[in-house]
Amino acid sequence: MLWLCLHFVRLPIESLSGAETAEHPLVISHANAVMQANAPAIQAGIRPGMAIAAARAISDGLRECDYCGDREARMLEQLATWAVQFTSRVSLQPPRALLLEIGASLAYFDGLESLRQGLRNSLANIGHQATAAIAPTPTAAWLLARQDDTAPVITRAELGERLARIPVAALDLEPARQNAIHGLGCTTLGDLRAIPADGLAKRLGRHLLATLQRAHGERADPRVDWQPPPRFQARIELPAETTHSDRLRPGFEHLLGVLCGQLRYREAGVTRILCELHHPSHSPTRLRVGMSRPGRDPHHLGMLLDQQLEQCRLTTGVIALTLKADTFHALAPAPRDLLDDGQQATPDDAWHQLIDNLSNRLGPDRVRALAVDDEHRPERAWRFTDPGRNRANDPPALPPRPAWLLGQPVRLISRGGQPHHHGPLILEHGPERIESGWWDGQDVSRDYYQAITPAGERLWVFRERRGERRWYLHGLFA
Amino acid sequence: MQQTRPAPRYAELHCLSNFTFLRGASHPDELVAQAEKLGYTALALTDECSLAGVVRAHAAARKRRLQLIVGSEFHLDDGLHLVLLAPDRAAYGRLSALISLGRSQADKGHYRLARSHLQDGVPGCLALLVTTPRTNAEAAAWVARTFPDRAWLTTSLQRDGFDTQRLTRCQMLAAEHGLRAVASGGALMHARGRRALQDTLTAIRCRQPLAALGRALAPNGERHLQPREQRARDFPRAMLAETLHIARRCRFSLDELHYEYPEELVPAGYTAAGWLRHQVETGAARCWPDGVPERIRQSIQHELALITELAYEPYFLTVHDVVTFARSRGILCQGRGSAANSTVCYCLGITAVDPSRSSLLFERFISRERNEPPDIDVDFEHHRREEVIQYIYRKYGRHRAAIAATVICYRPRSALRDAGRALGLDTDQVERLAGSMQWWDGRQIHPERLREAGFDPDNAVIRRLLTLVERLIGFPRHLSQHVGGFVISRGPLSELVPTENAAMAGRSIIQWDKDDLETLGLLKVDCLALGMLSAIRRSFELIERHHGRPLTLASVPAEDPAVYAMLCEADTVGVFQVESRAQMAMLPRLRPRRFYDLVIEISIVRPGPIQGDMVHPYLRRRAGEEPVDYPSDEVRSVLERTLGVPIFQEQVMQLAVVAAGFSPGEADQLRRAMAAWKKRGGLDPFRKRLLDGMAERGYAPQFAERVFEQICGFGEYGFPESHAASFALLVYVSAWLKRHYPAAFTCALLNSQPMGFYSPAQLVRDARTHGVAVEGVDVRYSDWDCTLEEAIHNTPTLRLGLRLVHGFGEAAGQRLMRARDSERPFRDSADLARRAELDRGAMRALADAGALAGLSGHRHQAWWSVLGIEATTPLLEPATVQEPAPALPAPSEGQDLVSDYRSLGLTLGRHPLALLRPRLQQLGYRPASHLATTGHRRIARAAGLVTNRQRPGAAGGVVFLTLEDESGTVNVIVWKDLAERQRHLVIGARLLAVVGIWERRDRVRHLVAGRFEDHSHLLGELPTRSRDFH
Repeated sequence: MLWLCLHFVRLPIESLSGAETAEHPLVISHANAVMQANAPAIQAGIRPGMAIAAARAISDGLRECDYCGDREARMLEQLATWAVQFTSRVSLQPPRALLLEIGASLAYFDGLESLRQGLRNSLANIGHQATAAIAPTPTAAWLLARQDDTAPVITRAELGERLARIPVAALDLEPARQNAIHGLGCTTLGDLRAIPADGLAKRLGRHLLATLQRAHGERADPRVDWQPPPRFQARIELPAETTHSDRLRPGFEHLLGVLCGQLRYREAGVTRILCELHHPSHSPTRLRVGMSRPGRDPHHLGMLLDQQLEQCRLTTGVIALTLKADTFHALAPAPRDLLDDGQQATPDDAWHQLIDNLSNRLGPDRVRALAVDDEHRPERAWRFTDPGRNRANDPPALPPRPAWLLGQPVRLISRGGQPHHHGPLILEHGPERIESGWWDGQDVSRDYYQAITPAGERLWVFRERRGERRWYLHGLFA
Repeated sequence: MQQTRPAPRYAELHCLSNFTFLRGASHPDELVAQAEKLGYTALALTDECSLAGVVRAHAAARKRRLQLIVGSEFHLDDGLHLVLLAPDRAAYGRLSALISLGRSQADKGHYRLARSHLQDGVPGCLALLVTTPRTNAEAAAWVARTFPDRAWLTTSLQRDGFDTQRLTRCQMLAAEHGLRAVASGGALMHARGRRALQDTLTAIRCRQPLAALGRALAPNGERHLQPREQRARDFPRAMLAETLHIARRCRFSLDELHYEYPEELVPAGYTAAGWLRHQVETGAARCWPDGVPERIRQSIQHELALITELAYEPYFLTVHDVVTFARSRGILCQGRGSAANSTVCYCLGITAVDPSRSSLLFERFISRERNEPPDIDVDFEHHRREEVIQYIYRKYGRHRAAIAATVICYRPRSALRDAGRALGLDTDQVERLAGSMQWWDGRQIHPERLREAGFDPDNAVIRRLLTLVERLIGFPRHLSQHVGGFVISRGPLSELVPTENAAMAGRSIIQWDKDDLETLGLLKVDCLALGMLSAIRRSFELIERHHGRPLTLASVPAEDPAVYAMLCEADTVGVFQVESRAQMAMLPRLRPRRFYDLVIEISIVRPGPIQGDMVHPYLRRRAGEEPVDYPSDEVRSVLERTLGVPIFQEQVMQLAVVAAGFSPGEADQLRRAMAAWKKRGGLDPFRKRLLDGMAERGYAPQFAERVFEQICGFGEYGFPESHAASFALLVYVSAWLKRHYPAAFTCALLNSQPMGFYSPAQLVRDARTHGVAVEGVDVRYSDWDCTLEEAIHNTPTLRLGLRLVHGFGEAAGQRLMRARDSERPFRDSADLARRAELDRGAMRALADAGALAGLSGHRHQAWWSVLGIEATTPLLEPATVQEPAPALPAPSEGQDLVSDYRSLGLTLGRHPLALLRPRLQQLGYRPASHLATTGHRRIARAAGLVTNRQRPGAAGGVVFLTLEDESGTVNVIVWKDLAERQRHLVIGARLLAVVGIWERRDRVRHLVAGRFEDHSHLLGELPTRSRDFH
């Protein structure tokens, strides 16, 4: 066996499309320090390890993105998908390396050099940088790749000599063990190998010894092959071209049924499905359906799909339907009564179905919920949020608040110190004095009152305590 | 809504100051000033379960003639919110006792009280129940029952929309339970403008940024002392009038508190005066066995008469008792300060300055005019002071003795950190700004510092930060225990002032600090710690053990010329008081030859004499460069001993007496005005009297003016002569020890750390330079303490002790010592670990320190053996597994050096700069010894580890650095401009290279810096530490 390790050194920054090649300086930050910087940033004088504040002081227009382990992990999986073209045996070495068993592929690729060239070209095409090292064991390949040691090690014999030079830091051990090794005066793997194995294991742990042995091929190092994640794609053809949406329904029912069957088998649900209506000489029409929480109820999906169908006007004939779903979420099965035919909906279900209907009909950002924020200043005491989130906590004990709040307070005319709005206002219940917010530059200092108009409407008004002491309308009681 | 009637009278009965830590946003005196401005009839200060701020309020109210009511507010376990006020002395005592009880039932900084604790009704106190819309009838009933005829219901108005409900509920409950309703403010600050600061305090208290607090912040700034007109608009007249009824019932003033001494000091059959006289005469007979001189006898009479007149006998007896205890245990102690002016104190053994050899001025210590109790500070060996403290607690009981508090206030750095966090600023940046603030930056934060830390001074957030910080500086944060000031009383202390738990177990503090005690005229005994006393006692013990020569402070041979010769050479590392840079520069110029010269040496190197321009004239006259003359015989008698130049506070006082006709008591007032004139002004009345008095007696106006200038220069920095004399004794003894027994002295200094000016590394280096052989830490030979080992030729070797090993604890050290057995030496590291029960961490610390070299070889081998130790139970003999020892390479010299410094803070190997010398040579830097031969005012280059930094307040911004290399040290002077320009290097560099001008004049040598280069990177990981001082 021969292993090739691809170490994607720049993966954190490459996980953001266009970051590496952007023209403006950009850094990936972690724990308030620079983790990686793109070329314009390096040119400005920013270095990895520098504090973010210091980096910002150097470069005014610096963009900064937080490091996200999940994002990097997803990118690594995508790279694994790319790598299978070179060998079927790909395994992940998180956080940013892949191991490829290439022994079997050499013949196919016409030799090692041509394989490496192919890798280099392909990497360039997808816009990623990697160091490639080759060794008879995966651990050795990984260590060599981290050290930028790219000359291939083909035989076991050379392995010892090449590994001996690698510094202990490459093993990425936890600080306590690192300290212990440092205390022994060992700086390279070669130094560690010079220590009798039993003594080493006793003092520094069996795990370390095992790693060294695996690197040197003295211990088995099985790797799990990476498998692409499940996805669903199915297609059904129609007997004849049609522009009638009714005729498409049976086909969709079939596809949805198959999908949901799969989902049930995998105990999973979907939040998004994509349906394509294929036309003979046009690109397919796409219908997208989204749900607020994962589900696998074919009726619900069907209903949402129907809504989309209604809105789309078919001008050309459809000859085939495709249904795709590419992200499965874990979904435990609902406990079922033996006699239950699965049609019962809980009140919660009804609520989510309503949200799904509205969102899919009106558009995803047109349906929002309100939440109460902990703030004295009324204009900041509320915000929009996603529907379906947890219900708000018990509202705080406040004096009566209007049901409607104006987006901006409206100035009122005042005569003789009395405010007017469709006539002179009578003030009640006040003042409630609100003075807060000096720390973010939005200090307010106001006296709030409930006021009645001559017509009997109840308003929420305030008078500024500073400046010209003007009157404003801020809200309406229902 | 105009009021045409005059505003009604009002007394504020519920008000918190910033002594309710992190809630109140105004100082007590600000509240008092504002209350007076608003025309309040009275103000009650009611901090939460505390009387910590009342003395300050009292002092402010006294000046302004505002009635101050003493009280406190409480939140009981069940949520009841109660304000208690003290109308008379007895009620005050009960209130104070209640506060002490509450504090004793919780951790430091907290309190716990339930209804059951108030079951007796806290006799005498007036109770105000603070009601909310939700207060239930049961609470009102309980208050009415528990405080018959002295309970009210009160509410404050917060303009949060619920005021009407509050007021209604309060009045309703009052009517239902036959109580009266009274208005109050619940003020947290003196003016609305403190709203931002009050919000910030909330953020600091909740440990959250302001933006995250939401409604935990107050909705508005209403909780301040409101104008009476506003009160009249908000409250019914009856509730306002009730505040006056309550205020009238309160007649208590803190002036009524006076101090009562413990009674057990005076045995039956004696009065206090008689017993004191008896003790003094016994002591005098002991000090002068050949007969007490007449002059002394007269002093004793004079002093005792004044002591009796002012009724201070018990105070002296208290201190005498403590000192006698210490002596009985062999604990070295010595009185310092103005007390050394007292013959009585000398006879009682409290001080060590012999009145027959010096002229003392008793009025410097106690005077009629001062109207203040005396202040006796006693220094004890610092490591044994705890025994003295426990003696006091044992003898008087924890309910009668407690330590004075120190109020820990916000300083620039802490204020920056907390305010910055509250504003939500990036922690790293705030840390950087806080860290770059040196103590000398004062309260102003220079725009440059802001820019350096990455802030824009014009940014709105930053400006907010600075405003907050400026206000916050000086705000109290918490109480801590004073260094050693004890208050001891006859009755329970808690009826005089509340006590609370200190952070240290077994200690309690009172809620007042020493300024408060002084304001009220309460006495305290200061038991201070002095490291040098410990070092001297240890030296004496070592010398007795190893040289068979018993010594005491009194029996050290006096006036040894060899000792004075050493002092003239400024060879004084480790010597008390004269080891600093400034002192080392002065010694070769002053050239002390006898004891009194030491008294002068200590006193003259201080900002007072420097600013008053006494130093140069004195030195010139001493060197014979200037004639010494006196305008009169009286002046000669005062100034002769200092060649006509006034150096001591007492001399100024004596001049005022003999030359200007002041009485001794008035002269003492002059001295006190001198000390405080910078803060409070007020030397002018004295100026006139002084000039007139001297003119009357025929002195030239120039002479009088000059004396007055010198007085101004003295300010608060001049030394009392008595104090200097006490210290001079320790200077001489420590110098004598260093000269004659350097190994023992260094050993004692190392065992008494932390103390002194120099680090262990420098002390060891200095000892080796003087020929002391030093051996490293070795588990086979080292004790916990450093010890002396007998070597050949009767010169002992200094063996470093286990205490120097970082990360190795004393308990482990004791176990190791017990396990060591001359019959059965340790076989190997595993054997050591097993027998001494040392865990991995302890063994690693020893390995890192090279202390296992004797058992396991060099550091890497030692690590190997330590890592291989398995935890075995003591019962089992370890199965000695023979495993092959690997051939581990030895550490390089540089690596060993780094480990030495990291683990011990010093090295016995080569100096780090010796390793770097080839590199430094290439850059043109020569060793310090080379500089000794460089001519005056030549350009010179030096490089070394920065071991000391000093920026004396009186030196006008000049920084003094000491650089150390393998051949010695170089003193560097950095003028203010350069210090500012290359501030980062001056503050932060560890290995500094200097190019400058070399100056040498009369044995005083230093390098005036022109330019710096930072070569700290050459040191790599070598950890170095510099001692930075004022």
